[in-house]
Amino acid sequence: MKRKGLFLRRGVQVFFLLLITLIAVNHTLEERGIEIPLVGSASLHAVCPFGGVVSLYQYASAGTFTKKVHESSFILMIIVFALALAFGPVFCGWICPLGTVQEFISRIGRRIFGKRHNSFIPRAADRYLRYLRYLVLAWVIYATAVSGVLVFAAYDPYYALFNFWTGEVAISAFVILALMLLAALFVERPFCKYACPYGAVLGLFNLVRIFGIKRSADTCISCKACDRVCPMNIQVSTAGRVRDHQCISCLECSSESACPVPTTVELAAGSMGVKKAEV
Amino acid sequence: MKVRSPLLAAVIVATFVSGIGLSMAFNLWRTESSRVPARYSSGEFAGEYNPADIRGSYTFGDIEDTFGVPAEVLGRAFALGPEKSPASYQVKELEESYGGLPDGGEIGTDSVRLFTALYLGRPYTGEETTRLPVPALDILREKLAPADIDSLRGITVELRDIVPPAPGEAGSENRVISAAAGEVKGNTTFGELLEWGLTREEIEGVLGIPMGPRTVTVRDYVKEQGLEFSVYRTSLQELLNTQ
Repeated sequence: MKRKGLFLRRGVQVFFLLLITLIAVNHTLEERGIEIPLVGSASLHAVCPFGGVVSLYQYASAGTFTKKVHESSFILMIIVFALALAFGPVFCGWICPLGTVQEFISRIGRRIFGKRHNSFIPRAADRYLRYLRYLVLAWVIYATAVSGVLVFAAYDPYYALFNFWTGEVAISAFVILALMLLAALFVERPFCKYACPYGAVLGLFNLVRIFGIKRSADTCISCKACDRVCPMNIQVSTAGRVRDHQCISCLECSSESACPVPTTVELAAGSMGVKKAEV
Repeated sequence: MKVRSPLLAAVIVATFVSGIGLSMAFNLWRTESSRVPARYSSGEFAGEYNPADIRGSYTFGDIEDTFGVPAEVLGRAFALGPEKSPASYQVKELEESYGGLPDGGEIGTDSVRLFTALYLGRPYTGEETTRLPVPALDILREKLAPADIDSLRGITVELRDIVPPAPGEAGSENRVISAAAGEVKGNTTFGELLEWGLTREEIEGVLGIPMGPRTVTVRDYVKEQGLEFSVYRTSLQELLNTQ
């Protein structure tokens, strides 16, 4: 029963991974006159909520979408933002297929490196590297606004992963995908932590989300199980409420999963016991 | 108030399903281009649709809906056979229907842009390799002055000169791949220019602006910047030829 939450998240992740894979395959098949029934055949760009974000400037200034971005991307962006406002970046932790694939690779890494996995990068350096994704975000938004095209597609490992068979993927995207998969053997979710521009946007919602990860200092036994299990290396054990911009709301730290004490680390709104600090 | 995993999972899935469902119900969910071209932002035709933005994915019916050029007229201009329905005929199919032209020109999307612009009397400069079939010129006779018609003769192609694609020959996408390396066309990407030996500096020297992403076609990129592709195409080709 303790791991039920974990399995549920896995189930949702696999569902969205399969859905996106089928849509991407169906898009290719449709161009050849074949179609998988009951599965959409939109392009990957049309079902990517980040397309809505990079189109915001063009939409605001010219009333049009960036090429290859459509209304569907905007709608998905709004849905993901609404969820993030309520629960934080659940898109990253529960839905994003690229995050799911990184997690799968990291399971292999954990078997190889054991407890050393996900702790190779010195914390002092890692702390600053985590802000790299905001530089990526700034560049993507600027370059897209200036050029009017999806510049990130040429570097996007997500696009490479679900389009590698089409011949439309730039070598740079393949290289980044390969590096990301390799890095996932050593580090949990390396792309999410250091380079994902969409994760950077959604991470900001951790500052204002309604339901946050909260730790009850009254019942906490300071075993640090929550710290060890957090894929994003957040020190939950010292927090009253987690406000770290890297939190992905995966609930791995919660009392439903890693925390051995019931109702101590939970996703909650409002006050929950004594707050010690916010990270 | 606390939220546990089962509830969170249900809320996530339900939010996506209901959000997409509602947008579909209100006809807001679109995963393809609306096929509404850009409009002129200034000048005599400000507010009118710009033929330069006609895409290969448009059908002749889309052009009729937006530009008012009847699909049947477009069908006659581009000599569609009786078995083809002009309204549902996609512009990009022209490149597949017509084979290579003896002079290296092509009848394709840019031909439709040019024809539409001429038919409506709107400004547009076609690419150097753009050709029009004779029936298109015949239709334009009713719209243009004799001097204008004469100026178009150089880019007009007799249908008997057109080499039909061999049976089983791949369509335009595959012809892109088999196109001679070093030939700058409308579907040439920046990545291809680099692969053919040009440097980023050389490309930017010709364009006068930063080079676009490798996967983006030069034509789309310069058009996004409000520049005329045909001008840069010639310069890039000359640069390649000197290598």
